[in-house]
Amino acid sequence: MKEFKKQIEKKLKFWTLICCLYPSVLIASKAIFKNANDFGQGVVFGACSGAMFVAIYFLLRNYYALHDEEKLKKLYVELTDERNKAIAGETMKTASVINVVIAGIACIVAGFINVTVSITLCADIILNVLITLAVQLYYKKKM
Amino acid sequence: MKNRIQEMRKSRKVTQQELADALSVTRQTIISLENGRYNASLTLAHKTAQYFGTTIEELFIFEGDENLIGG
Repeated sequence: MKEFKKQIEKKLKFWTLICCLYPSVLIASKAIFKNANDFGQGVVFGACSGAMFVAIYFLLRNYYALHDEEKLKKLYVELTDERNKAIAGETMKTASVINVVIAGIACIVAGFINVTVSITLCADIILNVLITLAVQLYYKKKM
Repeated sequence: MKNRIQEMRKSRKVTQQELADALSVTRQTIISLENGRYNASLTLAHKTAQYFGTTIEELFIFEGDENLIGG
């Protein structure tokens, strides 16, 4: 449990840093994308804000766990439970296959409507497959 | 793989939550183990057997060639 507490402390520092960086990232993105259209700026702002909410959630979760032994134990069980890990692994595996199949169908359909979208989807599928192969290779060497 | 977790737990009058707390897993994991929907890892099997003061062979019933690849 001591080791886990140290890990949570490290995570808390990390998420605090992310939260502190948010205003500067937002100002920097405004400066970088000042010539971009409204939609593009909105997307950047939305992505930054989304990341900020995620950071706040993890920051609070880790903070409360560090200040309450009961919550720390609950978090430990939640994060280390082997069934939860197995479910997460299976979910990612199934979801990634479904994702590629749907993107494939969308790529074919988009081919009749917009070539750019179709090529983008095709690139996404290729990237997805390449990442899967690279990760698989990594784990084959690791295990 | 079948197991005798429920049987042993009930004979010792231990609740699922108490067992889950002792093994540092969720109560849902204990339920799934007892129902045979989830097979425990070697580590969890060892910890469970240790908790009940028995052996893995006594606790988990290996039925022939389940999920065996090749051979």
